[in-house]
Amino acid sequence: MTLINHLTRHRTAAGLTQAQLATAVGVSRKTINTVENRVFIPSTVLALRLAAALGTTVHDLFELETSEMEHTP
Amino acid sequence: MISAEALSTIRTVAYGAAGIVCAGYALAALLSPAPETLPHWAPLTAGIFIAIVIFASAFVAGPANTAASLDESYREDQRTAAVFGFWGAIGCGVALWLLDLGGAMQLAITMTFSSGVFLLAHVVLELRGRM
Repeated sequence: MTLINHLTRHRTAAGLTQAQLATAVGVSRKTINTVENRVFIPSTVLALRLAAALGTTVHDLFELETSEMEHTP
Repeated sequence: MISAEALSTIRTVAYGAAGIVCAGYALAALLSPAPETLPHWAPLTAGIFIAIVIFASAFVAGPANTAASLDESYREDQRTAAVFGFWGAIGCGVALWLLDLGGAMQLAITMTFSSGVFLLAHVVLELRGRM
């Protein structure tokens, strides 16, 4: 499963550093960095917190790669 | 007040130091012609020392920063590091059994080696995540 995330774009648009976003959602800066670099897939709870902190939705932040979505029943 | 980032750094340095002591002791025991002369108290002392350092740092950092430093990516790294430690123990145990060094030596080396692998793997995973 390939997860595409637009976290960096939304974070920079909000004018936040990784550290600031990390503080806002209660995680370490490393977690934000690994999510943005697709090293770590966040939990549902963290994804919801990120979306809330950035004033957007989880679907705007994360999506499955298109080829995988075509195979989804 | 210690930030979550600083607490993670302190913890990573502590893990690295203890990991080097443990892995170094295992290597020294393997290579030494007289392993019984090695400071057997070194790995335990290192472990107790870093536990005190990490606990004290977490106390100063406070519950919010401590929780942030122990977030889900840390727990994921911990699980991954444990896997490395497990397979390191298996591999080390098998290798030492083949070398036929005796039960006491095998146990001492395997235990300290697997501990060192676990701690150092944690350090690598943490540093990888920060880059």
